[in-house]
Amino acid sequence: MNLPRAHANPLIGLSSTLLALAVSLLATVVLLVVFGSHPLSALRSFFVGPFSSPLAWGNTLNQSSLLVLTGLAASVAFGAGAFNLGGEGQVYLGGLAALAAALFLPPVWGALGILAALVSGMVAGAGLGAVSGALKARWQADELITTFLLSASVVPVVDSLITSPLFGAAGSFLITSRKIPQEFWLPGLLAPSNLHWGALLTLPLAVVFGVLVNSTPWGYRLRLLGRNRAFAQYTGLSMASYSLLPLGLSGALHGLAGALGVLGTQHALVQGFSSGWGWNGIAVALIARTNPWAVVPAALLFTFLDQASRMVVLQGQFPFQLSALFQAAILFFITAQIVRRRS
Amino acid sequence: MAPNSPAVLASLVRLSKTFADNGVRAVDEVSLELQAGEVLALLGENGAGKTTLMALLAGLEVPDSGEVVLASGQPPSLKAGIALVQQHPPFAPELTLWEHAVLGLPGRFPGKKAARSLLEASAARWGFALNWDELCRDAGPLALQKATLTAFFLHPLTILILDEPTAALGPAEARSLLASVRAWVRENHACAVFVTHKLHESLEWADRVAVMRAGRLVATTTPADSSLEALSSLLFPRRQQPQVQESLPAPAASLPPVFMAQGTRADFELRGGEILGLTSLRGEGAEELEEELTGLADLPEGRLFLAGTDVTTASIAALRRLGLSYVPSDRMGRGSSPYSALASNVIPYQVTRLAPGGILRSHSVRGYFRELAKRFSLQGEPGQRLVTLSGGNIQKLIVAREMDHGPKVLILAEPSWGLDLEARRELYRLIRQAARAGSAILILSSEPQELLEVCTRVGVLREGRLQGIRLVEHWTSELLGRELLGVVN
Repeated sequence: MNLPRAHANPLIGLSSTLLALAVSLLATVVLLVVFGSHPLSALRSFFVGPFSSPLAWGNTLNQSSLLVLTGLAASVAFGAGAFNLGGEGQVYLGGLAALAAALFLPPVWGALGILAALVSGMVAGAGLGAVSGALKARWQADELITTFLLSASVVPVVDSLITSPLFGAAGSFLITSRKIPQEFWLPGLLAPSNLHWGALLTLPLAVVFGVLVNSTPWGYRLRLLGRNRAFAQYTGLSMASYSLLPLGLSGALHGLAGALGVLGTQHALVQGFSSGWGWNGIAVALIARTNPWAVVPAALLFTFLDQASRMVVLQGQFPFQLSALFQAAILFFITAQIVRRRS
Repeated sequence: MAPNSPAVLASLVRLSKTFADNGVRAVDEVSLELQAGEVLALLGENGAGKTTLMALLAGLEVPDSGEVVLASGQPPSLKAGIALVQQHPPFAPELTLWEHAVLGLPGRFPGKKAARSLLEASAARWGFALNWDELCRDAGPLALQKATLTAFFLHPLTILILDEPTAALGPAEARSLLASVRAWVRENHACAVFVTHKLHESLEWADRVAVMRAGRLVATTTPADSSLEALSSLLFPRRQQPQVQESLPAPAASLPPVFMAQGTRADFELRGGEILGLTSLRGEGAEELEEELTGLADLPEGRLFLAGTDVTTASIAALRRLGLSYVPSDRMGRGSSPYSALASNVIPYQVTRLAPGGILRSHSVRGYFRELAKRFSLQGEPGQRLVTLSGGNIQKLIVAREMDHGPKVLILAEPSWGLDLEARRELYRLIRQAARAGSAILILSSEPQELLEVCTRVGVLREGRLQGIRLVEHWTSELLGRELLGVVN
């Protein structure tokens, strides 16, 4: 399996991405004009809708902050040649761990408790990712399979736990856990949108990961591993630890996304709250061509597309499926490899 | 048709082929006629161009010049009745042998029952006993070869080419296979060509023997007019001992060996400043030895010492820390990251040094590359991708990377594969330079001639075991050839 490789010349990579973006926006406009009864208002709600109110763009920013995390998670793993398809389960488990910490730590801990809950989420996600890493290191089990299967089996377990007496609200018929104490809520920004201060955490994190992956010996080794595993082994990299590391790290970032979702947005664990975050993170990583620097704009773009197509659908002119079609068209053009003859 | 001028089935007319990716002239103006009813053995050293010549004959490769003229007037192909059975026939692991065999049969798929009875009848005629329901994945190389051959016998063939058909077989199996082939040739008035490096086999089973060296056909003879001795000196001609351009000072025997294997299949002691060469025919254990000595595979028996430390079970990282450098035979798969920049390919052992404070500075990475490029006259810009370089320049970059930190031991496997004369000369100069600087050097090569040129001592690996190391002055290329082939006086 080959991922789009970062080009040796980043300008070529960037220009081909921009070209793909332009083509796909054009395709979207064509779709809107062809299918819409009022093409102009459809275009306006597509391009302006996501920024039309603090509510809309607050939600867009919050959603993209989560996608920055899951996008970084996928990028880190992909860049090192490890295919983490278990994002969904890792996010969900991270949410559960954060919920447990927030429910059972004394509320007087305040900010310290928030930190503890975020760390628990990361540890839980990292743990799940590391299991696949260990299986690969010990038995060469393909992480593509194990991450996916582990994730798929974790989801129903979490589903059943949130309504169990341990986490569930007594006498409630909603499929959600109890609310966490208000002391552990991440303070909101731009009310009434979902945006919260925790979302801002993701920007410095993206910078840190960009530096780690692109400019440290450690990141160099991870990239070497992604480019040619046999060469990385030949230079003396420990295959055991470098199987564990990228998957563990990727899992930690997924877990953090889950924890932020619980502490910042839902303040409880609602069943299926993070559905799609893991997969969309993979899409973001592909748009960013696994470069951490590019994950932030890619996540913003992806969220914008998501929100914009929802806006158009909400306006009632378009069938619900069309929103998926817009996204598919754009993803298709961006991830399509520009095949060039090797000289 | 007169009985003493047999029908010519195919004429190879001045065929030449140069491979664009490494610039090697694999086949050089070869002309040869294949006659009906004959078995022809094609002999040659590794890399002599045998396989390429056969691919040209089968129509699988297109010659740069010259042509293959068939009696039927058709261009060469399976359809024209020419089949090539590769040494390792490609297969789909999840298919059964019978499915493998019927793939590519001309005409409509005959259906399971009909196909099986066809195959079984054909196999029985040639004396092959096969379990047709076995998966290709589980079948050994012999079964795969026989199944492939059985399938080919269903085609209306006139010329059958077998590339090293007996390389993986024991003597009894080899006999039965070659006997079947000969019977098929005689019965169908067809022609079979088998590529081999086993001299006795060609004398026993062939009607004619053709010998290739460095892309050229140097002789065709018959077993009656030839002998093991004669063939062996055709393959490895008596040459003047090459002049050692710069003689290396002999290392003091009192020095402790820096690299040593004890109780293994290939025991040796290697001191600083020495260049030891081990040669073998392909498939006689050099590939395994390459991995065992460099920490990529476990030693099956014995112990290995590097700089006085027992490194039998040491990790690759530990070996490298102790001063082992290694230029692998698989340059693109193992020795480099082809789609990364040149700079990324030279810094794996320098990254910590180039990252003061933990941050890799791109100007120091580029600076390091430029400095290395200057010292070893490497081509290219630091940001250029490795695949854009020629084979010779890629090898030079790998050698430079491995030599840069003054290794205690430098292992090179097939260092000059695919390199032209100029690149080889440069490579040998670098190797001698490293030896003079005190490195102990071990070269694994299937080209005996190159070892005679660069090494101070040379040994031969045959059937996976080392047959004895001698000073280079005590070898001639003829002696080496005999030792390689196991021709005993």
